[in-house]
Amino acid sequence: MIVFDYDLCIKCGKCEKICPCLAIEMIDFPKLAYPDKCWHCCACIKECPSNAIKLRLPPHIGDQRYEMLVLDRQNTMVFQIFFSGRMIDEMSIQVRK
Amino acid sequence: MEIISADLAIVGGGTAGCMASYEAKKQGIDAIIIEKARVRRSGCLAPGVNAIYSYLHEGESPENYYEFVKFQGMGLARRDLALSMIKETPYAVGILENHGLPVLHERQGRFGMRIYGEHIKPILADIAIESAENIIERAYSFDLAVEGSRVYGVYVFDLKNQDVFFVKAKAVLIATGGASGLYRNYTVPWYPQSNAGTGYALAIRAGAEIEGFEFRFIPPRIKDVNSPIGVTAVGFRAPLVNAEGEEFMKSGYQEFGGETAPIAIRAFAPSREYLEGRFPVYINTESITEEQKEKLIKLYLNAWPMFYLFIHARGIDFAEKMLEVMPCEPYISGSHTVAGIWIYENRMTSVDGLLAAGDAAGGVPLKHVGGALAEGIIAARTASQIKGENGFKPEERYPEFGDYSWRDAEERMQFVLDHYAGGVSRYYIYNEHSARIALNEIMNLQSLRLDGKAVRVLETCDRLAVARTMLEHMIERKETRMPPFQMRSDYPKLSSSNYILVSRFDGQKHSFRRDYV
Ligand SMILES: Cc1cc2nc3c(=O)[nH]c(=O)nc-3n(C[C@H](O)[C@H](O)[C@H](O)COP(=O)(O)OP(=O)(O)OC[C@H]3O[C@@H](n4cnc5c(N)ncnc54)[C@H](O)[C@@H]3O)c2cc1C
Ligand code: SF4
Ligand code: SF4
Repeated sequence: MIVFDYDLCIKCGKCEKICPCLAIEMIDFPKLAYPDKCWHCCACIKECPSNAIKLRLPPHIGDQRYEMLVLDRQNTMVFQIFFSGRMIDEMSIQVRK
Repeated sequence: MEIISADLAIVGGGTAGCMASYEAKKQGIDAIIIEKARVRRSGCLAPGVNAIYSYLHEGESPENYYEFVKFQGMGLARRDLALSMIKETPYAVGILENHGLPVLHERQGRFGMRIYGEHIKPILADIAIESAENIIERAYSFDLAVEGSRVYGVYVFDLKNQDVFFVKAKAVLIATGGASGLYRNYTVPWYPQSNAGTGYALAIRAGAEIEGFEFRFIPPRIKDVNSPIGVTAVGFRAPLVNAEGEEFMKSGYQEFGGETAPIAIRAFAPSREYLEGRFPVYINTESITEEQKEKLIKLYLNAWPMFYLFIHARGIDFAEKMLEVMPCEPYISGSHTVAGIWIYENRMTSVDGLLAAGDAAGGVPLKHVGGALAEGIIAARTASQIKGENGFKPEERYPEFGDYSWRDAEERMQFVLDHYAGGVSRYYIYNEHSARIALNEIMNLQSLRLDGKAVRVLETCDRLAVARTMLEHMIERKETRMPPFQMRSDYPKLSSSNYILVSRFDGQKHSFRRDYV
């Protein structure tokens, strides 16, 4: 499941366009219109220019207080884990030569 | 209706489709990619991968690969396809490396190449953008134009403006991947819902031959998060254990190869442990070191990022809390079974001018990224050989919409397949009687005209077409050939027969057998 922070969202529509499963719809603001079509792939999170989207586990899998943010930093991707809004872990990987 | 012309129409800008556009340009023909989502992050590779499987390392011969996949397919694999495919994989991966993909030149298993592959799809998209004449995104291919036994193009529904246009082409390549979302799922699907089996549905409606659809793909996965398990099991040699602490692959499945048995057996064995009450089933990671742990998480960040969130939210420390394993719902996909559209060595289907590649095509039980890239290349070369004018005049076409909710139809389909056609809740077992109940119900659903968001309606129609052919194949194979992928309670004895079940639909169903050669 993805969650939007509408205070950060600039309504650019990039998340809707990138979603491989066409699960997001923009009507004024972006919305996860088809939650059961979300593959949890994080493409929208990586694409969002204002870090307004985070990933949560589906409720049956685990604790909803944990969230993940992914930052696209050109040749690296940075993954951050949050607990109740506070960052508790971070890891990054190289993605391009 | 707008008509767009090209030498090659590529349906699906995924792994095989993007690579086909590269080779088409190299061979001097114009290719158009039609993609339902956005090529930059579409299909199986959207989150990335950490290894390219089906890769021919130096010192290995194509014959070795064929023997390997034949073992993995429990004796069922097409030699012509396996040999021609694996030969192209070093060339294909070289192209990706030249475009910026970090290739580590280390083995991951015998036929795998380790990569930092989070960005493999954006890199493939760059390749497609510099190669294809045109890329049309948010466009759903819904029917082929076939006359006699030749294809002339493809009808496409534009999801942006709800118009239909026609792509007229000398050759059409189906590269839409496999089918997810047929069966009811217990958690997030492993195979992407974007791949709704459209290519199979297009081929079925066009009267093309379909092979091996009775073999569903049921992957053993990390329970709940449904992430791939291979990196942990193979990469770190972590064994499977049941609730009683027994390493059951070693004790019960030695004749199949134990811990390295074919993938079907590695799904069958844990599902038996569940059925017989010895769950939970774990993958024992106790002996993984801190350094290996970090490496393992990074492998997942390259391929299934939700895993990182999962281990935090569930408080999983590999040393104490082992990862649970459970097979998930069945899919139809040429990536891991012989199910798919029938193709010849040049990747032509039984319809002239119609090609198929990647998960959409059948015949090789382990194809993966390497195989999809290679088949895209072979198909594009075949397309470049097709000469002559295409004077076809398309008719006005529009998908049929009605007033029955796609959601209700989809839910019913997933429930029926789960209960009567060997889903998770039935431990993957079916019989003649149950499969016929499912078939009847699927045909009822097919007679409805669906309502709702266009993409969802089109996907549901495609899934129903795939489900019907799958059930017909499941009924036709009167034996148990590959548990749990194909496993019957009315013919429980494990058979070692060696034929390919092929079917074709031209208003009537035809099915016949071919030999594996
Ligand atoms: C989670 C996961 C992990 C994997 N891990 C590995 C791994 O580590 N190593 C490995 O080698 N292999 C791995 N595989 C397998 C491999 O990714 C696939 O076999 C391969 O990428 C399939 O390529 P494809 O071109 O057939 O399909 P895809 O790459 O999925 O492309 C299909 C394309 O068709 C488009 N499409 C679908 N329907 C339509 C339509 N109606 N109109 C237009 N376009 C359409 C889709 O949007 C998509 O872009 C993994 C697969 C999955 C799902
Ligand atoms: S996580 Fe992936 S599937 Fe889910 S909404 Fe975002 S882009 Fe779409
Ligand atoms: S990409 Fe981010 S900023 Fe743009 S619409 Fe989506 S959530 Fe808002």
